[in-house]
Amino acid sequence: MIKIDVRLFGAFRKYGENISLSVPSGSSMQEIKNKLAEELSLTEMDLINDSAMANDNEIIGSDFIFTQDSELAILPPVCGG
Amino acid sequence: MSGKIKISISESSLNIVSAHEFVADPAHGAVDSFVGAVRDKNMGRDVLGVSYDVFESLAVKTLQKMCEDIRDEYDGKINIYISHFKGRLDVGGISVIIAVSTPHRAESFSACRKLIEELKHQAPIWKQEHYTDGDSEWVQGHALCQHAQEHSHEDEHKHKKHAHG
Repeated sequence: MIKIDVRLFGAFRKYGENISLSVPSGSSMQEIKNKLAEELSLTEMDLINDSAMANDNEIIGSDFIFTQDSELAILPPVCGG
Repeated sequence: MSGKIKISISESSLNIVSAHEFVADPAHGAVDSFVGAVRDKNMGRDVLGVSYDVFESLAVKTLQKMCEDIRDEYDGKINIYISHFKGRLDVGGISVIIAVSTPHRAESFSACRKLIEELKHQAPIWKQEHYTDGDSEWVQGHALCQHAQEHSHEDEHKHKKHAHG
């Protein structure tokens, strides 16, 4: 198992600042999102599926496979300005 | 010297004078700026204020990259200042300042417009509107993930989203 720390932004803020997930090594982006939805008890997946995941430097591609502990952020659709 | 870029995320009031001072350049005859402010109505609801949430590290990098791309496009003959507010603002509060200077006005207008549009679509920034009835809601925005972007293009003609700002 690997540990994925996820920082929460925007509409996810109501669940806190961050959440720690434990997932099998080799998990896909979608599996991380599914686990996040489960931990947050989300009933509808629209928001999480429309959200990107990123580290401090870049958006991570949807085909990325996680094999080590990681620090991520979940980014719902943006609307600055 | 041309080609200067300054990006900041600020929890203090934004200052248009600082923006203009930064982009000032003896070789540049044009300065154009965009100032975004909190509006008192959105989607028919009376707005009291807006809270801005920002993923600072990625926001700064995203905005820096946007600015560097535009600087390349203008062969370095451009200075750019972008500052975005983080925290809560009342109606009328300034949420973002973009200032651009170039040798001539056409480039300044064009670059400033492009920067605010790209900021709205790409920077990891969110706003939560606070209404006079006590309710608050996160404003719908533009998806950063590829899957949702493709989905959104398909639906573009069916649904029109109106975001604040």
